[in-house]
This record gives sequence, C-alpha cells and structure tokens, in this order.
Amino acid sequence: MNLVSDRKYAVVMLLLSIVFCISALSLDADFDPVNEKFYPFVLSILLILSSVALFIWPSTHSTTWPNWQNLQRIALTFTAILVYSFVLHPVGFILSASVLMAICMWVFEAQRKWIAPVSIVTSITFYIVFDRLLGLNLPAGLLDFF
Amino acid sequence: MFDMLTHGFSVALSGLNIFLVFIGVFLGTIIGMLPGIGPINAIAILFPIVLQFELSPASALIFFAGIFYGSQYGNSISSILLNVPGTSSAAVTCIDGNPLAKQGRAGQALAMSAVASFSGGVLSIFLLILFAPLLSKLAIDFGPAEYFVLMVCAFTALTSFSHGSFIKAVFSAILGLAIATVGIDELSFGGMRRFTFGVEELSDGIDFIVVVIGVFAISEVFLFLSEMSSDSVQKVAPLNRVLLTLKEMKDSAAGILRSCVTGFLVGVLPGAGATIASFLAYNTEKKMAGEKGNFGKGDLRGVAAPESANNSSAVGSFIPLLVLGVPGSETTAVMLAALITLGVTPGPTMLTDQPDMFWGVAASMFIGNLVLIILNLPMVRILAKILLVPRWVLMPLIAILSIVGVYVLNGSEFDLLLMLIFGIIGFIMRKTGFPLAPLILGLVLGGLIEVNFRRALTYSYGEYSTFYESPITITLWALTAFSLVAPFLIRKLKAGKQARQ
Repeated sequence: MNLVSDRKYAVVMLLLSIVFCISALSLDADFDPVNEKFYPFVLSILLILSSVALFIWPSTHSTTWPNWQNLQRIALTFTAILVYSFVLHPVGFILSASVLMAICMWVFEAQRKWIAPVSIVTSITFYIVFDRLLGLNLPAGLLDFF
Repeated sequence: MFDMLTHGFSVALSGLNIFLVFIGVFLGTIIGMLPGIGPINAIAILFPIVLQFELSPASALIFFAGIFYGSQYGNSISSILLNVPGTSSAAVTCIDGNPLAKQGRAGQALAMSAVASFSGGVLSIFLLILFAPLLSKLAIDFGPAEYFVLMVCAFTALTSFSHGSFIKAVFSAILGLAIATVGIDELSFGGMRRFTFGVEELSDGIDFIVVVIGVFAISEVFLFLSEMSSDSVQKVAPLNRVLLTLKEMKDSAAGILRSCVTGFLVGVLPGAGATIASFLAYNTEKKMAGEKGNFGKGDLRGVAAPESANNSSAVGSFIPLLVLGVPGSETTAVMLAALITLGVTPGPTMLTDQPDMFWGVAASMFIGNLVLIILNLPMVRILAKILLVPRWVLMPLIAILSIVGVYVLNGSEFDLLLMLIFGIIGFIMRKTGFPLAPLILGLVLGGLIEVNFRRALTYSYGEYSTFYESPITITLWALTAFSLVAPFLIRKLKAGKQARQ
C-alpha cells in the first residue's frame, strides 16, 4: 500500500500554502473580516489544514510519471508554446501557428510527409475562419500584405 | 395564457425563422465544439454577423436561441469526446462523459446528452410559464448572506468528486478560490491589488476560461504525450450502438427530472448559473444512486444530470431578467445586450407592453431545443467518428485551437502564458490524483463567495448571526448537512435492511 506519494504531495502543498499565507498577511490592510486581508488569510489556513490532513490520512494513489522520452516531448511542446506566445505578434499567426503545429505533429509521431502540408493548410484555414469570417483578430505579423 | 403561447409559436414558426433556427443550431454546435467557446462567447462572436442581416427582432432572437442551444450541445460534444469542456458548466459532463467515450459508448453519451438537455429544457419552460411570478418573489428574498450559504451548499457537491481522496477535492476547490482572489479587489475603496506581484496584466484577475482551457485542453495534450510509446497503436474502442435503450432512458428519467428542477431553481437566482446547477445536480444524482451507481467511471446518469440542469438553469435565469430586468447569469447578460440592441427592453413591463417578445422568447426556446434534438441525434454517429481521427492530427489541432481560443478572448499573449502554466498545473494535478472539477467550481464561485461574505457582514455590522437567521439560510444549511450525511445514512439503512433479511 503506497501511502508515501500522497505524503510527499502533502509536504509540497503545505509549503505552497505557507507561501500563500505569508503573502496574504503582507497585504496592506486591517484585519477586519470586511477587508481584503481576512478572506485570503482564511483560505490559506484552510489550505494548510488540508495539507496536514492529507499527510495524516493519505490515500493509496500511485502516480505513473512519464518516461524520459515522453518527458522530453512534453518539454519540447511546452517550450514551443512558450516561444509561440512571444513571437506571435511580430511574426504573425500563420507562420507561428504553422511552425507550432508542425512541432506538435512531429511530437505526436505524425508521418513526415504530412507534417508540412497539414500545418500550413490548417494555419491558413484558421486564419481565414477566425480573422476574416468571424472578425476576431489574429496578428498578421510579417505577412502584413494580406 | 396558452393562447398567448400559441401566438408566440405562430410568430416563431414562419419559414424564415425555422430556417434561421436550424442554421443557428448548426453554427452554434460547431463553434461550441471549439475549446473554451461556450454559449456566451458563441453568441458574442456571431452577434455582429447576425446584426448584419437586419432581421426582425423576433427572427434575430430565434437565431440566437438556436446558437445558444447549439453551442451548449457543442460543449457537451467536446467534453464527452475530447475531455475538453467548452465552458465551466460543461466540465461536469466530462467526468462521466469521457470515460463513456473511452469505453466505446460515445454514441450513447452523446445521445443521452441531447435527450437530457432537451427534456430539461422543455420541462423548465413549463416551470417558467407556471412559476414566474412566484419565484421572482423568492429571488428578491436572497440577500448576500443567503447567497453565501448557497455557495457553501454548492461546495458540499465536492464530496462527489472524491475518487481517491475527499481531502484532495477540498484542496482543489480552495485552490480555485485562492486563484480567484488574484487581481484588483472590487470591494475596497483603494482598489487594492492582491497577489499580482507587480504584473500589470493580472490586475483584472485570471480569466476562468483561460484556466479551463489550460487545465483541461493543454493538460490533455501533455497527458497524451506522457503515455506515448513507440509501439502504441491508435487503439480506440469500437463504436457501440448509438441509440439509447428504453431501460437506459427509464433509469435516467427521475434524475433528469430532479436535475431540471435543481437547475431551474439555481438559475432563478441572479448570479447563480449553469456551473453551480450542473455541480449540484451531479452531486444529487450521485448520492441518490448510492452504491449502485457507476459515477465517475461512465454512468449515463452522470451525463444526464448536468446536461438537464444546464439547460434548465438557462431558462430559470430568464425569470430575474424578465421580472427584475437583471440578468440571472453570464449568458443572460449577453442575451440582455442582444435584446437591447434589438430594441427590446426586458423588465417588469415586458409581459404587459411587449407580450409578443416574451412569448416569442418562450416559443423560441422550445423550438431551439426541438431543433437541437432533430438535428443532432442523427448526427451523433458522425460526431462519434471524430474519435477515430488519428492522434497526431487531433492533439495538435486541440493545441492550436486552444491557443487561438485563448488569444481571441482578450488579444493577450499573457493569457497564453497563463494557459500554459495552468496546463502544467492541470497535468500535475491529474497525475497526482487531484480532481479538476472542484478547482473550476472554486474559481468560478470565488469572487461571488468573497463578495457576498463581506457584504453580508457589512450589512449586519459584523454580526455573524446573519448567516443563520433567515428561513432561507436555515433551509440551505439543512440541505448542506443532508448532502454531507446522506451517503452514510443511505448505507446504514441498506445495511439495516440486509441484516433483517
């Protein structure tokens, strides 16, 4: 019976709750229930209590963390989306989304020959549907001549 | 009164309007399937387009009704098939809907969703017509203290989301409440910023749709990645039959009825909407099913309850709109904007001055529901085929759609970063056994709970007795206690029965 995992999580939860608690206490207000400080403080106490409770009464949950290869896939996807959010505006939607889609397809083991055409077609389709048809703004970026 | 209703129907059923309803439902369904786009956003997105056609107010209203019901069903579709809810109220449908899809019973889940939505919607329209004046009185008696207790009551629904550990569900929910505190505090005079750590974009708080998409859609992508192996074939359970058996419908009938009433009552209260309704309905049905239920692992009743409550709460929230002129939920707020633009002023005078509009609205709700079933039940087989699309297309599509969905929300790249962070948080939570639904409930209710708590205390000059004085609060506390104690009582009763045999 694996009770250790939950206890480890409980410790992490406790640390986070304490950080939240300190953060709440540092708010610049009186300690009146009607003010801004009381409620978050109470929440942080409840979080601390639940962390302790989980430590005392852990469940038999066991986690299967991804293997190294899949962890790399996740890291790559994470980074790709991260970079995307920074380059979206300067580079434009169609180019950024094509690259992001291509990376995602590669990470999900798509067949090589499909990656480029599908990414490009999808990005262009989305651009037309969202930006032109629905009127929601997607940045044009480098392809500003549209 | 019924001749007014038939008059409303005759207005609603012109050739053009029927055409519009079908188009509305169809468009709504497709847009609703996109991650993060629920009925509110769907109406908001299609609003300018609808205006361009210069339809009569009645026709535009019917079109919107179609979009509304279509997008709500679209949300259910993506919840069931992809485990990606379009909006917070659809999050509850994921819980039993997605396991059903994974077991090859996607067709039944989708069919049940359509049937439950339709039944809940239609029944609630009757409730609307019959009880509008009575219930508006009830809604007025709800003050901040009553709202606070109501939300505490909704939180007891958390006991349903505790597959492994009730404590984890509680932590999840309070985490949601905590996230909701980020941003400028609305009740303070100085506009104090809380937990923004100097980041200006956080002043408006964290948009719950960003969290929903991050915690469900993006984490789903990461989850799939974490389980990939070089020899894994795309194993999808073969599609089962699509229609529901009579027995399945019979088993769910009582639940649908109960959830309809629950959802309707919750919807009547201004500020309480589809999310609370679906949580409470799910909780009730799970408790009623007791040991015999398979909730959480693929019980059709777990899909029927939130879908019925969802729909009926939308109808219920029309009561405060019509009677008080106050929108009952986020969705009705958009409807209000739409109605005003169309030249209708909802409010107490609507029933007397513009009866055409009111009965037209009632009729359009009924028709919207009907068209939903007509259009979508046959399509269930086609929709379920979406599951057969290979992962290397589906998952990247979900990723891109989520990213687009979040970006067009506020045009903010910062939201994309938030979505990503919550994607990781959601991934970790799912891996370590922390349920996601309570997080969403906490986030959605967070602002309201705090505001009502502080307001109630302000009005009562610090007297905590305000939280248990009025008959409404007492009733709600009783319901809360019952909800917590019920499973034990039911088990004891059953054990007693068995001992006697």
